[in-house]
Amino acid sequence: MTERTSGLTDEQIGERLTELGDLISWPPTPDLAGAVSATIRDERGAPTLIAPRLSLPSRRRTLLLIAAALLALAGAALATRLVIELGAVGVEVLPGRPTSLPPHVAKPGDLGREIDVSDADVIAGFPAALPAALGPPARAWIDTAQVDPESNATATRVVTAWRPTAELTEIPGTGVGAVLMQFEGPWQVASKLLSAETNRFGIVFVNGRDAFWTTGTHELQLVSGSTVQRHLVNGNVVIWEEAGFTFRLESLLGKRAAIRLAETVQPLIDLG
Amino acid sequence: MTGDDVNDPRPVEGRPSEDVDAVARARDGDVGAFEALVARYQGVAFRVAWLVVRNRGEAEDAVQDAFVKAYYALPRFRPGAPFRPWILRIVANEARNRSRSARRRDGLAMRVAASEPGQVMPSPEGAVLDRTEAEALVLALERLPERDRHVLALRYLLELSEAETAEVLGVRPGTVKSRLSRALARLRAEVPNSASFAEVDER
Repeated sequence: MTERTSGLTDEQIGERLTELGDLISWPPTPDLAGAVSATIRDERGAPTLIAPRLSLPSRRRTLLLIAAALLALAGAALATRLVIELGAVGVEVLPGRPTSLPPHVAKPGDLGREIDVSDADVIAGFPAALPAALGPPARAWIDTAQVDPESNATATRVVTAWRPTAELTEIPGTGVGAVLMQFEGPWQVASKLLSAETNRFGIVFVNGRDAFWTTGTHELQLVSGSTVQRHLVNGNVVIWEEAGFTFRLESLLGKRAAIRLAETVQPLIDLG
Repeated sequence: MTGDDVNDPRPVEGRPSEDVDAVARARDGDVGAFEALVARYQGVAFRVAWLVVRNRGEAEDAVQDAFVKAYYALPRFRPGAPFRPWILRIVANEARNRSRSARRRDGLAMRVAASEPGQVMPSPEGAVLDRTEAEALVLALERLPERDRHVLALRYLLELSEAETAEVLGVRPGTVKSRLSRALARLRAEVPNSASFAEVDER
């Protein structure tokens, strides 16, 4: 480097870089305005997956009461879609039969990074919870969903699975007998799409709190990073909220047995 | 500048009063108002995304997804705040998320617009760079670590203010100052021992 060049001030180099901005052969900018507004118009009719919401207990209670009343009237006669919000999971019940279910259940690699369950608390940054009645899980995964594009904030999901046993029949296609998903925070990062004609569903109670129960094959959408994954679900599912988390327990257990199992869920640290 | 851009991103100062009105209408559900904001800022947004991912397709997807996410995030946008740095930050975040998995990156992505060797580029009054010098600067920029290259590109090539650069990078303005200072020092060291560059000082 010459003395003259090395003598350029920051301001002088900055001026040259600014000039350079005009001289660079930038890739041509695509016209995205129409595509963006078309996407928004398409999506406005559908539930948004990443939807930070007011998580007011009274609002939730009202929604669930309305949902319960509608569900009592629903069955095959449901004429319009029904949307229920339960913590991190949104449930949408569509009239009629499903038109396009995903072809496969979630594979292990779809559930995030596999971890040792004993490390879950440290990795997740919150106390992972497990059903005491089942003992230690066979496998555990952790994943994050982008929930705020502005700050790039994420919400964490811990998934645990148990092998089939005499009491826990294998969920078809999964190789496991039970799957528990624990979602952090109030952001809606999962959605279930049910069909009024092919799924049974209803409001139940877990530890005295409102919960949602469904049976029958349906679609589960999970936000992973900033993408949405679609998975087929063959098990029975109970969803409930507790201590700032949303839990989703899938198995082939009947409603009462599944609720009893859900009510044994407690933080891993309390399980010793 | 070359390329058949549908939106020349310069000037990139933003149009605060028009933005405030468009943002307010978009928050009320006026997608057309938001479309106008996309049209206004897609040029600079695309360049920010491209600088991060270095892949046209990925940059296009990142910008489109970022604007859609921004639309749904409008209820949390502070009324009256400048829209441009806010959207550019979302774009940069989206691009960074994609850059981790980007399949193919454009090679020497910054190329000085083609012209005869040694030809003085048509540029604004008072311009001092000729093609050789510009190419030397590009090569030097490309050799810098990504963090240095990003801060220099945002601040100078795209002419964002320090505050906007800070917003896009998700750091404090003071951090931008210090990063710029270090990046300029490294760039100065990377610029080849070029006679033509030395001549620049004599003009």
